[in-house]
Amino acid sequence: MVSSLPGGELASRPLHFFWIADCSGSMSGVKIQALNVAIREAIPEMRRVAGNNPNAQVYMRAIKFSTGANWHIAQPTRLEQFQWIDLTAGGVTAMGKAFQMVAEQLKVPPMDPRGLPPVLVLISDGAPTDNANQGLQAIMAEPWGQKSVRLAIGIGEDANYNMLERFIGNPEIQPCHAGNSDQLAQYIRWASTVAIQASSSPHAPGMNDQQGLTVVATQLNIPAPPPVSNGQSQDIW
Amino acid sequence: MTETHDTWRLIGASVRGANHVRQGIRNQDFIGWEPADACMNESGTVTPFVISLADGHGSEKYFRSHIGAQFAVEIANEVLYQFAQTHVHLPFSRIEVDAERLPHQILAQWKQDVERNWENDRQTDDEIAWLEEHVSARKAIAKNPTIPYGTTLISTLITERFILYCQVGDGNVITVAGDGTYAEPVPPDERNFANEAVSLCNAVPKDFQLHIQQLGTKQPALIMLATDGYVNSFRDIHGFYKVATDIWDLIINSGEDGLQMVANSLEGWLERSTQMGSGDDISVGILWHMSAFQGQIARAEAPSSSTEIVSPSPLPGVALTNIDDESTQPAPTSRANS
Repeated sequence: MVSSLPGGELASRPLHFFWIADCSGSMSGVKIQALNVAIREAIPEMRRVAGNNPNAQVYMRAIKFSTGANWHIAQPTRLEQFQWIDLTAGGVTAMGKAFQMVAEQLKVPPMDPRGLPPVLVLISDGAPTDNANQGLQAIMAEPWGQKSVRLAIGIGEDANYNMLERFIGNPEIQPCHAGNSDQLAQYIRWASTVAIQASSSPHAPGMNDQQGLTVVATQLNIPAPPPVSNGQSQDIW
Repeated sequence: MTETHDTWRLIGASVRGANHVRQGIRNQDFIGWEPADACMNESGTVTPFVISLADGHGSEKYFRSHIGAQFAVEIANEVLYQFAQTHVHLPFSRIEVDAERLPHQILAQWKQDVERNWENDRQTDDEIAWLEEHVSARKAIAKNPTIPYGTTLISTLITERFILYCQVGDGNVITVAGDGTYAEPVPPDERNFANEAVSLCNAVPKDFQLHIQQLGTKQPALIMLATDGYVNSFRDIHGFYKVATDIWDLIINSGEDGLQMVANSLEGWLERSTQMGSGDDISVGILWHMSAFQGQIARAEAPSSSTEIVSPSPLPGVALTNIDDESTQPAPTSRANS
């Protein structure tokens, strides 16, 4: 029986956004505070950008890594309802464990095959203390991992930028380098909004491979980050 | 008196995606069928006809994909219709063998026409500016000028003896049997995932999925073809399958009135689906085998031709402000007349 429309329930396409945050001891103090403020302040702009495409439903979650890794916000939460919960820092840098746990969530199921490419934003100020390459391989072993939009922000000079580059996996996109809290805030705002835009753009195929596929590049049409200012920040990382 | 047991009806519609409306992007889908109008087969058997849909990729790099989609539909319809005419009386084994050449024919003709268009149709200032800004894309297009025309393709050819399904890339074909059960005659190509799809611009003949069903005692009562903007508008795949079975139920329960309702409502349904769902362009073709409705459909209203094409018209009261003349697909196309 057709009531108004034939078929089942209509729904916008889900877009899953993952914050992957370094909470090791070196992030203690000003850095973790700046990260909390930056993400919290980025959320309104993310909502504004997401609102431009009502056919995409953004779901947020966050994972933290230090000595081991834990879901900081485990439940995929609609961006409209998402509230940032402050992170605290302490421990080492088990980035690989976090990657493994993200990879588990990129499987189908729980991921929806009709979704939009998931977004993974990695923020770190140090070098992994576990096997991050193995964790990254786990992400890339999942079809949604390969299709994900991946961006990375390094904090300070001690971040392992080679690792961040491998995470992004696209030579045309370099990790952002935040030297102080103002720059971190600007990069967080840029990464979170541009990633949502890239993932939710209608039909955004990128490069072509040799097997008849028109590939939506894992990093689709992501512009370079804007020049950032030092702002009022007194801290240089 | 006209027999209805070999009669099919066909409707189709294509609407611009809600996202494309917001962004001022044209509809990059295309739909068409052959022959373009109902025709009488003097022998009284089923007149062969074919319907095709294509989904141009649509992003910046595929700046002529709406043209590629139109070419794909027109070429597929022409090639498949000719195939039906030349093979309808041949042994089925011969039909199967010869059908294997169809992908090559369609692909070769599409590439030829697209390359000719690229050579003859001067690039616009916007296209030139975009190519100057995007070096890697410019190099790729220089090697393969079909890239800007990238598109998928879904076709279904109906004859009195067989049905042929042909698909490249994403999109869906669903059949509904007389008992209301549904099936997908073309199995999903696992390579179509996320926004990634097999494309004519890079395809080789083996990328085509071809399935031929010999018609006997068991044949579909309803066939629905759709570009991927439709399936992506539903929370799950079963909600999409339910479209076909709901339409089947509507026609079975309401006969000719149900058929007319579908014809009148289809475009409005698709508009609402893209608005509340994927935001993508949606094109749908629906075919009914009239024998399935014998006793249900008013016999006196049965068409006098073997194939009746019912062009959809707007449902009264349905807002059509999101569809403009440029984006709305033309009704049936015939390559011979284009």
